[in-house]
Amino acid sequence: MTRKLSISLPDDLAEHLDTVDNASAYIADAIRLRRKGERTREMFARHGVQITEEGVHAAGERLRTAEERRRQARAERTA
Amino acid sequence: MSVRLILDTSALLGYLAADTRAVEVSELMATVEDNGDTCGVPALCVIAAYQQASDQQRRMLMELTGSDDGPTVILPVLATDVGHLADLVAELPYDLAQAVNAAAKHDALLGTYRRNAYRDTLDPEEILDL
Repeated sequence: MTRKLSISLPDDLAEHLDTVDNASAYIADAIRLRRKGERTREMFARHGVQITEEGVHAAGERLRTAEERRRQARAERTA
Repeated sequence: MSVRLILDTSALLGYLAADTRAVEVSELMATVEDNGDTCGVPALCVIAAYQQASDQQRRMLMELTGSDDGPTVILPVLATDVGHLADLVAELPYDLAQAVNAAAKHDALLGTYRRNAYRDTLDPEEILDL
């Protein structure tokens, strides 16, 4: 089942949707990902773990830095 | 969805400790999930952590790793993994050997609190220190 909705979006997001093949599917995927993240955060809270969005952002930076360091090390080994 | 980060036994036990380690591991899992990827937990690491956990921690571990829609996916030992794994167990316990095998297979970093345990089997930059 699907429902037809009329929604309002900021101009930049609306312009981005103009570039995708299936805007409805794109929005549905984004909502599913958001809900999944919310359920995970609820589970963490049930387990007594309180995370912050600042901490999640910092963890992402740390992970990207480590991945870049690995990419460079591999490139140096093969050079 | 791809496996972007492998979490070994020490990372799982860190999560179950429900202290600052749990926050660190959870924030990593959250950022991986927010980007549409997932964290891989080798089955032998889950078993090793389960054996060391209290009853309450075991329930937490099963909820963390047992859901199809959770932030992690349990990685099995497949027939194609046996040869590499068999070579690795000469150097490492079975659970850590599967973590190394999984990191190589998924081209993912290995998140651990026990970097030294891997010093003879992994290049340093393949590890994310927790």
